[in-house]
Amino acid sequence: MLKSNPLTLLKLWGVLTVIAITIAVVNFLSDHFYFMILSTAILMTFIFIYQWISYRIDGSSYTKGFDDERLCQVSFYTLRNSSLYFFVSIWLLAIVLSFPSFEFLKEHISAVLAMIVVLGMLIHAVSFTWRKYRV
Amino acid sequence: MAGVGNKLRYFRRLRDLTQEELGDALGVTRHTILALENRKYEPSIALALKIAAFFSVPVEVMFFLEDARRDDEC
Repeated sequence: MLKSNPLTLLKLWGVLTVIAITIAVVNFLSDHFYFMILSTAILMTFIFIYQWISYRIDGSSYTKGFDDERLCQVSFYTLRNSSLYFFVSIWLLAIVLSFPSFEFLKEHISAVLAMIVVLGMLIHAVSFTWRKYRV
Repeated sequence: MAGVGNKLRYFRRLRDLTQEELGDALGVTRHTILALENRKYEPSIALALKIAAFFSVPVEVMFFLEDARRDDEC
Protein backbone atom coordinates (compact mmCIF):
# COMPACT_ATOMS: atom_id res chain seq x y z
CA MET A 1 0.00 0.00 0.00
CA LEU A 2 2.72 2.44 1.04
CA LYS A 3 4.95 1.55 -1.92
CA SER A 4 2.24 2.33 -4.41
CA ASN A 5 1.26 5.62 -2.83
CA PRO A 6 3.95 7.91 -1.35
CA LEU A 7 1.22 10.42 -0.48
CA THR A 8 -0.17 7.94 2.07
CA LEU A 9 3.33 7.60 3.50
CA LEU A 10 3.56 11.40 3.76
CA LYS A 11 0.26 11.56 5.70
CA LEU A 12 1.37 8.72 7.99
CA TRP A 13 4.71 10.50 8.55
CA GLY A 14 2.80 13.67 9.48
CA VAL A 15 0.81 11.82 12.14
CA LEU A 16 3.99 10.18 13.54
CA THR A 17 5.71 13.60 13.59
CA VAL A 18 2.88 15.09 15.65
CA ILE A 19 3.17 12.16 18.10
CA ALA A 20 6.97 12.62 18.30
CA ILE A 21 6.61 16.37 18.97
CA THR A 22 4.04 15.67 21.71
CA ILE A 23 6.37 13.12 23.36
CA ALA A 24 9.29 15.58 23.11
CA VAL A 25 7.28 18.38 24.75
CA VAL A 26 6.15 16.06 27.58
CA ASN A 27 9.74 14.84 28.04
CA PHE A 28 11.06 18.42 28.00
CA LEU A 29 8.71 19.34 30.84
CA SER A 30 9.67 16.29 32.93
CA ASP A 31 12.67 15.92 35.27
CA HIS A 32 14.57 13.46 33.04
CA PHE A 33 15.27 15.23 29.78
CA TYR A 34 16.90 13.35 26.88
CA PHE A 35 18.37 15.11 23.84
CA MET A 36 17.69 12.08 21.63
CA ILE A 37 13.92 12.44 22.03
CA LEU A 38 14.00 16.13 21.14
CA SER A 39 16.38 15.60 18.22
CA THR A 40 14.21 12.75 16.88
CA ALA A 41 11.18 15.04 16.89
CA ILE A 42 13.17 17.83 15.18
CA LEU A 43 14.51 15.40 12.56
CA MET A 44 11.05 14.00 11.86
CA THR A 45 9.76 17.56 11.44
CA PHE A 46 12.60 18.40 9.02
CA ILE A 47 11.90 15.26 6.96
CA PHE A 48 8.17 16.04 6.89
CA ILE A 49 8.80 19.63 5.74
CA TYR A 50 11.27 18.39 3.10
CA GLN A 51 8.76 15.80 1.81
CA TRP A 52 5.95 18.36 1.81
CA ILE A 53 8.06 20.82 -0.24
CA SER A 54 9.00 17.96 -2.62
CA TYR A 55 5.31 17.12 -3.01
CA ARG A 56 4.47 20.76 -3.79
CA ILE A 57 7.37 21.14 -6.27
CA ASP A 58 7.19 17.76 -8.03
CA GLY A 59 3.42 17.64 -8.51
CA SER A 60 2.27 14.38 -10.08
CA SER A 61 5.90 13.17 -10.30
CA TYR A 62 5.96 12.86 -6.50
CA THR A 63 3.70 9.81 -6.52
CA LYS A 64 6.01 8.05 -9.01
CA GLY A 65 9.14 8.60 -6.93
CA PHE A 66 9.36 5.02 -5.60
CA ASP A 67 9.11 3.44 -9.06
CA ASP A 68 11.51 5.82 -10.80
CA GLU A 69 14.78 4.01 -11.66
CA ARG A 70 16.89 7.18 -11.59
CA LEU A 71 15.65 8.15 -8.13
CA CYS A 72 16.37 4.59 -6.91
CA GLN A 73 19.95 5.03 -8.15
CA VAL A 74 20.20 8.47 -6.49
CA SER A 75 18.84 6.97 -3.27
CA PHE A 76 21.45 4.20 -3.40
CA TYR A 77 24.37 6.65 -3.80
CA THR A 78 23.00 8.89 -1.04
CA LEU A 79 22.57 5.95 1.32
CA ARG A 80 26.14 4.87 0.61
CA ASN A 81 27.47 8.36 1.46
CA SER A 82 25.52 8.70 4.69
CA SER A 83 26.38 5.12 5.77
CA LEU A 84 30.05 5.96 5.26
CA TYR A 85 29.62 9.11 7.39
CA PHE A 86 27.92 7.15 10.21
CA PHE A 87 30.57 4.41 10.09
CA VAL A 88 33.45 6.89 10.32
CA SER A 89 31.83 9.13 12.96
CA ILE A 90 30.81 6.28 15.27
CA TRP A 91 34.30 4.76 15.12
CA LEU A 92 35.90 8.16 15.72
CA LEU A 93 33.61 8.67 18.71
CA ALA A 94 34.55 5.21 20.05
CA ILE A 95 38.26 6.08 19.73
CA VAL A 96 37.82 9.52 21.34
CA LEU A 97 35.82 8.04 24.25
CA SER A 98 38.66 5.66 25.08
CA PHE A 99 40.78 8.64 26.20
CA PRO A 100 40.20 9.64 29.84
CA SER A 101 40.47 13.36 29.06
CA PHE A 102 37.14 13.27 27.18
CA GLU A 103 34.93 12.66 30.23
CA PHE A 104 32.83 15.63 29.14
CA LEU A 105 31.69 13.70 26.07
CA LYS A 106 30.72 10.67 28.18
CA GLU A 107 28.62 12.86 30.44
CA HIS A 108 26.76 14.34 27.49
CA ILE A 109 26.72 11.25 25.26
CA SER A 110 23.01 11.71 24.48
CA ALA A 111 23.67 15.18 23.02
CA VAL A 112 26.75 13.97 21.11
CA LEU A 113 24.84 11.06 19.54
CA ALA A 114 21.94 13.37 18.72
CA MET A 115 24.35 15.78 17.00
CA ILE A 116 25.90 12.93 14.95
CA VAL A 117 22.46 11.71 13.85
CA VAL A 118 21.19 15.22 12.97
CA LEU A 119 24.34 15.95 10.95
CA GLY A 120 24.08 12.55 9.21
CA MET A 121 20.48 13.16 8.24
CA LEU A 122 21.33 16.63 6.95
CA ILE A 123 24.15 15.17 4.84
CA HIS A 124 21.70 12.56 3.52
CA ALA A 125 19.00 15.12 2.67
CA VAL A 126 21.38 17.61 1.02
CA SER A 127 23.13 14.85 -0.97
CA PHE A 128 19.79 13.41 -2.16
CA THR A 129 18.37 16.81 -3.14
CA TRP A 130 21.58 17.79 -4.95
CA ARG A 131 21.65 14.63 -7.04
CA LYS A 132 17.89 14.63 -7.68
CA TYR A 133 17.62 18.18 -9.02
CA ARG A 134 21.05 18.55 -10.65
CA VAL A 135 19.92 17.84 -14.20
CA MET B 1 33.79 5.09 -22.47
CA ALA B 2 31.33 6.10 -25.17
CA GLY B 3 28.31 8.01 -23.90
CA VAL B 4 24.77 7.13 -24.89
CA GLY B 5 23.00 9.86 -26.83
CA ASN B 6 19.29 10.03 -27.57
CA LYS B 7 16.69 11.85 -29.64
CA LEU B 8 14.13 12.00 -26.87
CA ARG B 9 13.66 15.78 -26.96
CA TYR B 10 13.16 15.71 -30.73
CA PHE B 11 10.51 12.97 -30.62
CA ARG B 12 8.79 14.48 -27.59
CA ARG B 13 8.45 17.85 -29.34
CA LEU B 14 7.27 16.07 -32.48
CA ARG B 15 4.39 14.65 -30.46
CA ASP B 16 3.87 18.01 -28.73
CA LEU B 17 4.23 16.49 -25.25
CA THR B 18 5.49 18.14 -22.08
CA GLN B 19 8.13 16.41 -19.93
CA GLU B 20 5.45 15.89 -17.28
CA GLU B 21 3.09 14.18 -19.76
CA LEU B 22 5.84 11.95 -21.12
CA GLY B 23 6.92 11.06 -17.58
CA ASP B 24 3.33 10.16 -16.69
CA ALA B 25 3.06 7.94 -19.78
CA LEU B 26 6.34 6.15 -19.03
CA GLY B 27 5.86 5.92 -15.27
CA VAL B 28 8.89 8.03 -14.37
CA THR B 29 9.32 11.52 -12.93
CA ARG B 30 9.76 14.60 -15.10
CA HIS B 31 13.25 15.01 -13.60
CA THR B 32 14.24 11.71 -15.19
CA ILE B 33 12.93 12.89 -18.57
CA LEU B 34 14.90 16.12 -18.13
CA ALA B 35 18.04 14.18 -17.12
CA LEU B 36 17.67 11.90 -20.16
CA GLU B 37 17.23 14.84 -22.53
CA ASN B 38 20.26 16.60 -21.07
CA ARG B 39 22.24 13.33 -21.27
CA LYS B 40 22.91 13.38 -17.56
CA TYR B 41 21.42 9.92 -17.13
CA GLU B 42 21.62 6.73 -19.14
CA PRO B 43 18.42 4.66 -18.90
CA SER B 44 18.13 0.96 -18.13
CA ILE B 45 17.41 -1.39 -21.04
CA ALA B 46 13.81 -1.72 -19.85
CA LEU B 47 13.23 2.05 -19.85
CA ALA B 48 15.01 2.47 -23.21
CA LEU B 49 12.74 -0.17 -24.77
CA LYS B 50 9.70 1.42 -23.18
CA ILE B 51 10.60 4.84 -24.61
CA ALA B 52 11.23 3.41 -28.08
CA ALA B 53 7.94 1.51 -27.98
CA PHE B 54 6.06 4.61 -26.84
CA PHE B 55 7.27 6.60 -29.84
CA SER B 56 6.99 3.54 -32.16
CA VAL B 57 10.59 3.81 -33.32
CA PRO B 58 13.40 1.20 -33.19
CA VAL B 59 15.48 1.54 -30.04
CA GLU B 60 18.65 2.16 -32.09
CA VAL B 61 16.98 5.20 -33.67
CA MET B 62 16.11 6.66 -30.29
CA PHE B 63 19.43 5.77 -28.59
CA PHE B 64 22.93 5.65 -30.06
CA LEU B 65 26.54 5.54 -29.01
CA GLU B 66 27.91 9.05 -29.36
CA ASP B 67 31.35 7.88 -30.53
CA ALA B 68 29.81 5.60 -33.17
CA ARG B 69 27.70 8.48 -34.44
CA ARG B 70 30.76 10.72 -34.70
CA ASP B 71 32.53 7.96 -36.67
CA ASP B 72 29.54 7.74 -39.02
CA GLU B 73 29.61 11.48 -39.61
CA CYS B 74 33.33 11.34 -40.48
